[in-house]
Amino acid sequence: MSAIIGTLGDALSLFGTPSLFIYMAAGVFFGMYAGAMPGISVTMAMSLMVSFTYGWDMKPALAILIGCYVGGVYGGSRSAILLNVPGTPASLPTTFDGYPLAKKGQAAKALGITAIQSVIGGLIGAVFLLFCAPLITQFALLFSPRDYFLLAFMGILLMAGMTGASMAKGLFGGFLGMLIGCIGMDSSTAAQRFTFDSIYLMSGISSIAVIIGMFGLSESLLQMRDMTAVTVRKQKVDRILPSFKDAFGYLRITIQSSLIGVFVGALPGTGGNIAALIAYDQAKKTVKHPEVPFGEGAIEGLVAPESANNAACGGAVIPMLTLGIPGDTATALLLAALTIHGVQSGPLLMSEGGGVFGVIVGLVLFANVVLLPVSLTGIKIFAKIAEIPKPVLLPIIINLTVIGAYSIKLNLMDVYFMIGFGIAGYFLKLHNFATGPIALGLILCSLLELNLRRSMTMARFSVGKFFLDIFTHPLSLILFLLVAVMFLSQLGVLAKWKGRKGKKEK
Amino acid sequence: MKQKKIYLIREYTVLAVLFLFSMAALFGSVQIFNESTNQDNPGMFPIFVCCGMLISCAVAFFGVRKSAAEERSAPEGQQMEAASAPDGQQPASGQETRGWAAVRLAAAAEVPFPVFIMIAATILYGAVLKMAGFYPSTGIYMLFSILFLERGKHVIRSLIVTAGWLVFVYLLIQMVFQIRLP
Repeated sequence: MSAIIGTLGDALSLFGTPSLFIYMAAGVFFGMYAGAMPGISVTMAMSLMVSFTYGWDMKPALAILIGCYVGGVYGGSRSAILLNVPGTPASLPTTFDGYPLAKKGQAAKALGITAIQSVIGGLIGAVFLLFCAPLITQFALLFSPRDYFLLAFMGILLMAGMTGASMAKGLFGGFLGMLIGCIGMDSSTAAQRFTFDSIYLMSGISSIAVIIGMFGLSESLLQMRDMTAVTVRKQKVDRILPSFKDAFGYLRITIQSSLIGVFVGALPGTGGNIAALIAYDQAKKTVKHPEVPFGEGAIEGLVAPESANNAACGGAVIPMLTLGIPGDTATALLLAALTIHGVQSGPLLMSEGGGVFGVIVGLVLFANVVLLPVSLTGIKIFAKIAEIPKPVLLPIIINLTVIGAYSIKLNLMDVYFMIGFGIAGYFLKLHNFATGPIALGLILCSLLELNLRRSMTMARFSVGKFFLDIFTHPLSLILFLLVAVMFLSQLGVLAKWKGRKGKKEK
Repeated sequence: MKQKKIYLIREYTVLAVLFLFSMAALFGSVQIFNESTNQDNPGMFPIFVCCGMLISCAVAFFGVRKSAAEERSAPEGQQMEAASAPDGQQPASGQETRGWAAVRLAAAAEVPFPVFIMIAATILYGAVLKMAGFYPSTGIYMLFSILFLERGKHVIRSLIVTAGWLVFVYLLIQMVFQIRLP
């Protein structure tokens, strides 16, 4: 309890330096607009900031970086809603219901709701960071590599079942994404995999280039199939602030999704991507009768991923601060910034860090407060994007995908990969192969492979021992059963079994 | 019936291509597995992934077959619901849908003319990006694309949008984000 009070005191000490709030607001603003640009990820915006703040004092540097992180995660939803291109991987599920809302002329409403939900989710995440950091860290330490493998595989299964018409096609996409992720030099043995002796393939294919192509380019090409059928929807922008019902009427889902966000975000290496997906799936399962079906513009489908991915920001900071293991790539940059400023994160940071722990907790908390006014700016301008005639908008989107792919490493190869995957994505989407599982498979590939190989090493490369380990460890067993139930329910086996049982009883 | 036939040709072709691709990837993975002497083999995970791809592709194939069979047994009025192409690329009544004619129709339904042109233009744009530089190649690509999609209408608007876009990109990407474009 004394540790929490001490942390709270350090967090409140930020009010002694009002200029920190200006740095924070600048970071949120920059992060939000960078996150809204497809191809310019939160990580990229933060890496720009790290180089920019190299010579600064620690507190202003952390303020602008954390602001950029929080703003960037929210900003990804803007392009997800307006262009069907997730600005950040964590805003992938936002496209499922956000884009249909924009198509109906309700882009401003969707943007307003995501702003409010992101703030609420972010605040819940920050409060958890303050109160539960030691507890969650202890629980995260219980996860073995096979648990991480099962958790990541669960993410792919969820996505495969949620998007597209066929579970088999969704799963194929997930595996295809993993295969793309295997391309390049193997990190453990330095063996080359599917590189065809090309120097460009040795470091692998950028996941951002693949995602931009699969979402941005392929969607634009699909929309060109029948330009006569494309109508420009007049967007309603008279009311930016969402109604009380839209903002707080889904509080149960907001809290449920935020808790998922904090918990999943606190698992090292997972971050907001899986959190948003699990939250979306849970919302789909728990909301029996949404006003609009999921996937067609359900408000619940916006609330769940947006509150979860911002709550995951607070969660992802927990293992970074207490274990020295970043929750995602963005927190890895925060860790780098801390090291630059001579702060060693880890178990001793809370007791011997000289208040840095509390300052970071305070910055995460107040960055979410600052996010509210900043996130409500520019909605009218952004909503107008959806009103641009398609013959003008589609070439702009394609050009943006080219710029986005090039900006990753300032390398034209990424542009070529993006175009190639964009064309492949066009054909796959045309045949109901959803691109979401491909993107997730690619993002989670290294996590899946690393943990599978670690588990196999622990099981002395025996498949039997691997399964024995699963069945003899309660946490692994629970996760395995969850994966099995999810797989069977999505294949419809459970429903058939229930149906047969019902008939027999009759 | 014609629409369903063309839909099935397209669906089976894509699944066959993906199955062959998965087979080739599995072959490559086995090669990686055999080349390594490590116990922690770099080919293990790709083999697992490729097996997953092959199985899911086969399941998807049987899924299409099953839905096609269900379609056949459905009453006449409800038949086309599942099989209809989403884009209005349907064969005209009286059009031949046998042999090569069916393949041609399937190809046209797969890549309609505007999409074909835009794919070709985008590949060409990517190819000349390094030689011609970002701004000239983007200017030409944008102007061509907008005019092509507008069917040659609104020339002045297209010119203004292209110029405005180039200025916007220069200010935001090059000046604010400090990204040097090719």
